[in-house]
Amino acid sequence: MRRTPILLFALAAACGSAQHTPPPLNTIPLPKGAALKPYDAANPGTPHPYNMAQIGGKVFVALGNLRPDYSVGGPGFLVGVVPSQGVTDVIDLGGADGRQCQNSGAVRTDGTMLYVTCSGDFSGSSGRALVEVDPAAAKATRTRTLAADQAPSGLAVTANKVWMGLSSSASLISVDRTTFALADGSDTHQAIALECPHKIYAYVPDLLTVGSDLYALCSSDQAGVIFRLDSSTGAVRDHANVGATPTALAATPDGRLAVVCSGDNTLWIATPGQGGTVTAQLAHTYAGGTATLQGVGSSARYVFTTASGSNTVQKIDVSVTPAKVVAEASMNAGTAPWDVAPLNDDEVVVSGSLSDDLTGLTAVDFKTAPQ
Amino acid sequence: MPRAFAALRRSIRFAPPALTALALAALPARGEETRREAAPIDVVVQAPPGSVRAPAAESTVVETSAFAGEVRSVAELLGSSPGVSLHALGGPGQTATVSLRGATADQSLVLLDGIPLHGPGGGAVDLSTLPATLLDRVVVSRGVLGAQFGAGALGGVVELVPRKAKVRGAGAQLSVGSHGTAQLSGDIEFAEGGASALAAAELDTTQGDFPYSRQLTPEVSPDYSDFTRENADARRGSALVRWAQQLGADTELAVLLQAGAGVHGLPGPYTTPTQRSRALDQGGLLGARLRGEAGSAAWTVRAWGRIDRLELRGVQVVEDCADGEPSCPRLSQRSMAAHGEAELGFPFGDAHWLRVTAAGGEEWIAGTSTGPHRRGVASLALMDDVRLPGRVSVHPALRAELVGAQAAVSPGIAAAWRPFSGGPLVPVELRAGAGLSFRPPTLTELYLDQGVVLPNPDLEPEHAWSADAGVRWHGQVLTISAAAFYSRYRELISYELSPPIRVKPLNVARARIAGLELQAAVALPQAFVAEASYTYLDAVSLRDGNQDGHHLSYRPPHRLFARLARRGDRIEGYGEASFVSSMPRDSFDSAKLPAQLTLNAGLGARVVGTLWLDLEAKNLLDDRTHEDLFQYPLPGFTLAALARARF
Repeated sequence: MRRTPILLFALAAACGSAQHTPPPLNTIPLPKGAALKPYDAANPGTPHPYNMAQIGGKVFVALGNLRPDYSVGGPGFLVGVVPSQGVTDVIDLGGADGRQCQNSGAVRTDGTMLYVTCSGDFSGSSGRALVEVDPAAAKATRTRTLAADQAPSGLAVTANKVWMGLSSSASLISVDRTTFALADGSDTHQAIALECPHKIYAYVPDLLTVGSDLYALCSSDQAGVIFRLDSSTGAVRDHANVGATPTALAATPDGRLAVVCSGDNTLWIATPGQGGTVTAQLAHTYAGGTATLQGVGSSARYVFTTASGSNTVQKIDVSVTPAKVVAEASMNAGTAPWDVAPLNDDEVVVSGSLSDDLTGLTAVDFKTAPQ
Repeated sequence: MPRAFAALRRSIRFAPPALTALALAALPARGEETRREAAPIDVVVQAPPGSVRAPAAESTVVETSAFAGEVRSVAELLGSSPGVSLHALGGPGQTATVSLRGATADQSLVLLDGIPLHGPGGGAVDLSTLPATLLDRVVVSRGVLGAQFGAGALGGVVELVPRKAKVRGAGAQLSVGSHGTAQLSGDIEFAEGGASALAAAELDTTQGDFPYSRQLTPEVSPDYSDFTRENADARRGSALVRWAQQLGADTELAVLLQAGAGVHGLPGPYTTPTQRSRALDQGGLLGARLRGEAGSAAWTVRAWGRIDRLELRGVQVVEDCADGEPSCPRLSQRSMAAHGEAELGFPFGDAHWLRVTAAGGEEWIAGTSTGPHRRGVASLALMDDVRLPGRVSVHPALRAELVGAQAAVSPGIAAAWRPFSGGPLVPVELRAGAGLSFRPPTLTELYLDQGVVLPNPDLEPEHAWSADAGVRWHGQVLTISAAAFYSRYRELISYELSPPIRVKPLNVARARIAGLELQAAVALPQAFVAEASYTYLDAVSLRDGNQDGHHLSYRPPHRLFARLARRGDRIEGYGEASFVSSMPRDSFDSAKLPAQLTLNAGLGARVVGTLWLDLEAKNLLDDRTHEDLFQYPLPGFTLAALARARF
C-alpha cells in the first residue's frame, strides 16, 4: 500500500512535471459574435487575440475585439484559458458603459494580479485605460482611464507601480498600484522621456521588469534601443542599440533579455552588467522566408519567437553563440501569430491575431533542425 | 521647309529600332504575313533612335512583331530591355507593374499613343490591363525625363505605340494554355488613299490555379511544400480603334479609342490568402489629334480624355471579407482626366528645330475611401533639336508645370555625337544626358483614408535628378550599347508607421541610385537574331537613421536577359533566359528574396498559307519557388499552343 505511491512519485519526478500536464488543445476557440458584446450587432468585431500572460496554470489573453477595418467593435476582453481544456474565463474590461477599455492588447502579471492595457479606438480618443484583473475572481477590479494622448502599448509590473509605454511617443507613464492613480505622467509628475533618436515617430512597444530593473524598448523611424531603468523611479541607467523596429522582449533562461526586431528580421540578446549597464548583441538573423517578428517568450531552456508574416514559431537555444534555431513550427496561412506563451520546453500556446483562435503547439508540431 | 530639318524630323519620327533593322536585314522573304507586318520604312538615321519626344535619351525599342507566335503580356515585352524592373503579383491577369532604373512604379510614366495612363488615383499603371496584341511597339526611355514628358518621369517613360492600319486585311490569333489560360484576338485594317482604319480586340481568360511551392519552416529546413493558387482567375476584354484621315496635302486627323474591362480575383500573399476578394475594372480613353504643316513649321493639336473605374469586393485592410455583408462594403474608385495640348515646331536659324508645347487639363477622382477631389494641370515646354557640326546633336528641353497648387520647372538635356564620318567606326555614337524633375503626390496619397491608411493633404512633390552617358554601336549586323547613370532622389514619399498600427505617407526618404545598362543584338545566319541585356543597379537609401546606407528593397542588383530567336518563312522559334539576382526584401539588407532563373522556349511552323501554329513553354525548369513582391507566388512550368493567321 505504501510502496505504490512512493514509486509513482519517483516515476513522476524522473519524468519531469511536464509529463503530468495534459498537452494544449491544437485549436482553442475564443469567444465570438454576441459573446464579444458588439456595439453594432450588424458590424461586430472579432477577437484579435494579442498578448498573453500565465498565472495559476492558465493563459490569459487580451482580445482586441476589432472589426475588419481595425475600428473598435466592442469592449476589450481578457480571456482565461486552460490550454488543455479551453476557455474558462471571459472577462469584460469595458466597465459599466462598455467603453472604458477598448482594444486591449498587452497583459502582464506580478503572480497575483493581472494588468491589461487598452489602447483605445485608433480613430478616436476613447477607451484608453489600464485595467487590473483578479484572476481568481475572473473580474476587473480597478480601471485607470488614460488621456487621449496616453494610448498605452507595453506594460510591466513592479512592486509599487505598473509602468506603461506609450504608442505616441518614447515615453513611460506609471500607475501607483496602491491608489491606482496616475503617478508618472500625471499633472504633478512628468512622464519619463526616453532619448530615442527619431524624426517621424517613436514609441515604446514593450516593457519588462527584472528584479529592480525596468527594461523598455524604443522603436522609431531611425533606431531601435533597449533602455535599462530604475523600476521605482524610472531613471534611465543605460541603453543599447538593437535591431530595427524592436517589438517585444522577454527574459531568457539564463537571465539575459531576448529582443525580437521586425524591421530587420533579427533576434538580439541584451546583457545586464554591473552598475546598471546593459549591452546588446545580435544573436540571430532570421532566414529570408521568415517575416515580421512579433512576439517572444521563454521556457526553462529555450526562447520562442513568432513571425506573423510567415506564420511561423521558432524555438531557439540562446545559450550558444550565435543563437541556434533548434525547431520551428508552421501555422496555417492567415494565422499571423502574435504572442507566444511557453508552457514548457516543448509546448506553447500561440495567439494568432488574424485567426481569432489560440493555437496549441506540441513537440510533434515543431520540425527540428538537422544536427 | 529646309531639307536638313525635313530629314531630321523624318528621322526622329521614323528611325527604326535596332532590332527591327537587324531583323529586316537578316530576314529572307517570309511570305505574305511578314511583308504585311514589315511595311517599308524610310530609314534616315540622322538622329538617335528611340522616342520622338526624347531624342538621344537612353532608350530601347521593343517591336511586338518580333514576338509573333508567343503569348506575351506588356510586362513580358518589357523584360528584354535593360534598366527595367518588373513586378507581378502572380500569373496572367494579375497586377503587374514596371519601374525603370530603380525608381518606383509610380515614378515611371506609361503612355499609350502619348496619352499618360495612371491607375485610379494617379498611382502605378497595372500593365495586366493593357493588351499586348493591340500594340505595334514599345519604346522604353530611361532617365529623368520630366522636361520631355512631364511630371512623374523620374525613372523614365514607357511609350506604348498602338498598331495602325498599313494595308487592307485582317488577322486572328488564338492561344490556349496551362491553368485555363486562353487568349483570342483579332483585327481588321483598312488603308487606302488618304484614309486608314484599324479595329482590334483581345479577350483573355485564365483560371490562374497554378501550383507553387513555399517553405513552411525556413529556419530549419530548405524543403518546400506544394500548394495550389486560389482565387487568381481573371477575365478581360480589350478593344482598340484607330482611324486616320488625310484632310489635305499637309493635314491629318487621327482618332484613337481604347477601352477595356476585366474582373479578377485578388488572391493575396500566400501567407495571408484572400479567397473572397475580387477586383472589377473598366476604363477607356478617347484621343484626337490634328496635325499639319504650314510653310516650314509643323503643328499638332490634340485632345484626349480618360475614364477609369475600379471596384473592390470582399477587400479589407489585411484580410478578405464576405462581399455583401454590412461590415464588408464595396470600395469603389473612379478617376477621369481631360487634356488638351498644342505643339508648334519650327526652324530657328540653320541649326535649330524648336518645339513649343502648351498643355492643360484637369483630373478628377471620386471614391469610397477618397471622397471627390479634382485638380488642374498645365504645362509649357520648350524643346530644341540642335544640329551642330561634326555630327553632333543636342536636345535641350525645359518644362514649367503646374499640378494642382504645386508648381515646378523641369530642365533636361541630351546630346549625341557620331565621332567618325568614315571608316569602320562610323556606327559609333556617344551620348549623354541629364535631367531634373518631380513627381507630384497622387490623389490617392493625398486623400486615401482607409482606417489604418491615413491621407496626407500636405504632401509635397518628390524630386530627382540624374545624369547618364553611354556609347552605342549601330551596325548593319551588330548593335551594342552601354550606359551608366547616377540619380539622386529627395522628398520621397514613404508610408510611415503612425503607431501603433496606422500608416501615413510622408516626404521623408532620400536615395541615390546608380547603375549600368548593357544591351547587344546581332543578326546571325539562317535568320537567327541573338540579343542580350544586362542591368546592374545599386540603389541605396540616404535616409537618416538605421536605414542609411542600406539598399532599397526589391531592387535586384543584377538582371540578365538573353534570347535567341529565328523568324523564318516556314519555321520560327526562340529560346530565352532571364536571371534576376537575389534582392533585398526589407530596408536593412537583412532579408533577401532568392535569385530566380527562368527559361522559356517556343517553336512554330507555317502549316498552310498564312496559318502558323506555335507551341510555347515558359519556366522550363518548373521552378515553383519563384515569388515576387509581398509573398506572391509566380507560376511554374506552363505550356501554350497558339494559332494565328492573316488574311
